[in-house]
Amino acid sequence: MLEVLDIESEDSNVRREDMDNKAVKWLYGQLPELVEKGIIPPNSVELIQNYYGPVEEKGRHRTVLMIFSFIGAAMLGLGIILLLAHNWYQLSRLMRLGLSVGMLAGAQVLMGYILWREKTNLIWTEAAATFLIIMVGASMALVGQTYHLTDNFSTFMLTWLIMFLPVIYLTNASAAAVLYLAGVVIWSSAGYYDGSKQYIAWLLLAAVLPFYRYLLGQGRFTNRSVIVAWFLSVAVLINVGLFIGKHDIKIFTYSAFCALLFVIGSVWFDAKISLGRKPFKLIGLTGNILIIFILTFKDFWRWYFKRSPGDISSHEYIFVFVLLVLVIAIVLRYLKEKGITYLMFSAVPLIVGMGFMLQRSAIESSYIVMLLNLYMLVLSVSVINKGVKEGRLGILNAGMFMLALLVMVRFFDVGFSFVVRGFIFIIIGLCFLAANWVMFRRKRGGC
Amino acid sequence: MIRGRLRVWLFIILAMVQLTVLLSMAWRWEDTLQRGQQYRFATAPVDPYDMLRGRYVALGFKVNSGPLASGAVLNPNQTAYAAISVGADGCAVFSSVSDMRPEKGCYLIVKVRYIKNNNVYVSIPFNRYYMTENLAPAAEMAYRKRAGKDGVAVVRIKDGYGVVEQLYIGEKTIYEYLLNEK
Repeated sequence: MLEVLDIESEDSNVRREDMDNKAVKWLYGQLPELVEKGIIPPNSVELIQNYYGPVEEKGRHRTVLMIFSFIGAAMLGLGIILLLAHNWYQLSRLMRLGLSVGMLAGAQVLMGYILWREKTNLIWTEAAATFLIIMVGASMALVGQTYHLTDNFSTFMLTWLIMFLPVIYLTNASAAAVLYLAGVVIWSSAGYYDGSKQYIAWLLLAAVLPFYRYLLGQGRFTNRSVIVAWFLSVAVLINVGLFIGKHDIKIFTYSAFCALLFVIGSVWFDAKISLGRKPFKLIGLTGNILIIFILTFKDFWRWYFKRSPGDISSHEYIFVFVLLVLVIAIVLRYLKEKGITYLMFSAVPLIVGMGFMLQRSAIESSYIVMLLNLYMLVLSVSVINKGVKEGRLGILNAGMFMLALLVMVRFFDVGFSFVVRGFIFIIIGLCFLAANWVMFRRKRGGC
Repeated sequence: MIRGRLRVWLFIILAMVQLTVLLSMAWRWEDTLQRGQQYRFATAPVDPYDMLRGRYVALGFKVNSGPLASGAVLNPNQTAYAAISVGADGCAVFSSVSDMRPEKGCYLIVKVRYIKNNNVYVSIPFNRYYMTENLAPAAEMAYRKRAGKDGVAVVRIKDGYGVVEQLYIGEKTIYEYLLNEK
């Protein structure tokens, strides 16, 4: 039974977090029948229940409560900012200053009280941390408004971020980390991204990593870990785009970074749970499929290389080199365990790099486009094959979707007649239906 | 992560730091308004909306350049120091712009935009006047009509920092002017 559920050997709390609660609930539901039929001895029931611990009936409710409390605290804070932005002319300068200090102090007292009462519900901690963070920004904004200040937005955001970074570590609130990551992206994207700003952005992102490490210690697939992982991946991805200014290597860098996310997700964050709870793998896969798909268009190569290539700076080279080294090292280390599809998707930057190098060598772009179309075809077939082998309908359909998209787009590219296109679409549709029917029959037969 | 009473004490320290930063921000500007030297800056018109910080009237000024100080070396986007004096019309002018802080007299910390014919064109740090949301559009319209004629911003300057104290159209404050216009 344990082999079927594919559980790794770790302590039961971590196992609980990694597994879907539904699976454990199902297992517990099966136990009476298994005992009755003599498949397992009666004393095994207690052993199994001790091993997995109690089923969290209220897990989903708690998540919903947490989300609503976060929204409630954020709306309350933003509502206060908007009221203050009305600029209460009736109040004197000192009264406005008193109000801004009072607001901040009030939020701090609330947070302090919750921290003092150590056994407070996590929901209240998250809500209070959110409220405090917004009040920090609101009070700074009100002071700016009171004295008609023209601080640039970048300075305002950076000060705000530094002021509330410690709140993440003192409150252990994932909402604070999420707001922080969103703030870093907003700050990075505002104004010019040059000089020291590039490196400060990376430092700001790195500053949240110890907190993420702490969340992972509580469970890789808990709601909090997953949400922070999502925001972290997107924030780093956006920063990669800002850091690499030159168009020539931007797409190549994106593909290297997506490959890195994919291998990290495949090696350390893989479990039999929905893909939505594995952001590294999902973003890595989606990003690279999208990149390869875009590169299958001939027009892209014509448009892309009409632009004059800028000088690539040394820090951009180093950055890309480090990404590639990491990808190659992880791929080679886990290649035997992970299989051919893992290799196919990890090799995307290699194929992209090859395409750009061929273009620079003045090879006819049709050959490059053909290479990339062939690669996309091989990827699709590899995914379909994995789906069939593992009996997973979702993966099979994903592979077929990739293949169908490639074929359909190519048919819009070239000048085939309606009749030919119609026949091909019908064939693809029938293949979809046939594959799903075969898989369905196989699953039913297996049960 | 940190737990127990240590966490509470660290949070108290953080709260003090946040309040100190906020109060020190306010203190500098309040001190400038209380003890700074008052100058009149003739305005030129330029009502953008800053969602985070309310409605404000964007200010432009006639004085936007000054002669390059002897021996000074300046580049675009560089911080510079504009020495202030009073012109014949009673409004502030920049008597020189330098890369060094003047040892005496009143000056403003500015940013260099460009240099042309030994004249340094600068960005002035105070270019907003926050108003009640419902009055800001009317103020901006009034300002467009009168700025460049008799629109003036009264600014307090101390140690290189300036704060807009009041906007005037003629002899009236912007609020008095808008009330009269109604």
